[in-house]
Amino acid sequence: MRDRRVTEAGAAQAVSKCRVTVVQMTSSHNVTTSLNQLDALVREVEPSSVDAIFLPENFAALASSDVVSIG
Amino acid sequence: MICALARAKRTWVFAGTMPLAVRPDKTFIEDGRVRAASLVVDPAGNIVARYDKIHLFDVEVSDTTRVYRESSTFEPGDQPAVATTPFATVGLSVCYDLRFPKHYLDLTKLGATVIAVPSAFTRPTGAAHFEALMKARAIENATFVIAGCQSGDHDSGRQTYGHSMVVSPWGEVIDHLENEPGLLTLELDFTELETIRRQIPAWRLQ
Repeated sequence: MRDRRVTEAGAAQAVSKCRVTVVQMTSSHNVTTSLNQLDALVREVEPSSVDAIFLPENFAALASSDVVSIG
Repeated sequence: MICALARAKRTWVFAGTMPLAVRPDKTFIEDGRVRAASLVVDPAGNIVARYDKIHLFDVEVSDTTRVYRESSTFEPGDQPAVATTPFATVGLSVCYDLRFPKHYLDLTKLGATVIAVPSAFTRPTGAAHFEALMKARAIENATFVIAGCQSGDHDSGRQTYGHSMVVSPWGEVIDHLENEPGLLTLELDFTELETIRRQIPAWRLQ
């Protein structure tokens, strides 16, 4: 799985395969509520079982009126 | 929390977007707006890349929200970014960027073989355009395109389309979710990408 390859773009392609998890959620305007949902969703992901986890836009809060405090 | 997640799961985390009041050069945004920053965290919990959403969603949509003016809250970013990982060079983009092909060409020229598109498409625009746009960007650039999405009826009143998906460099939806929160776990086969790039080198001639 870890053999290095080179694409026609010239960039090193590090592996021939990788495994990813993509998260879909219904984020709240409340940060704690959103992060609790994320935590519950990813609980089933075993450590080192995937190469990457991809989260959605606005995962921590959607349409919050206080965006500065989120970051 | 995201850095802790990366450490706990011993994996890379492509953290959608977070509103940040500081630009990548550490200057503070004085007018009260923020940037929609997409952070990349390595398995040790280090933030190793950042992309600030360039194309802001200032549109009118036939849904319950009707008018979106992200530019009133967000300052646009100004440069593309990729994250170099052990498994691929990953290009970064966000939602509305998906309608701007040049952004993806820029990412491909930076070496991306996988492109992330964390999204919160509205239901009308998502149903009409999301899958077609995902496929188009994948085919044009011969890259995997990965979108984790918002979905459902939000307590803010927003309604989003969902349909998180992964599209192959050939333009096929490898797998997708429907409307409910959940996970999609799958394998990306880069030998397929190499073959497609060799057979149809259009991506290199854009």
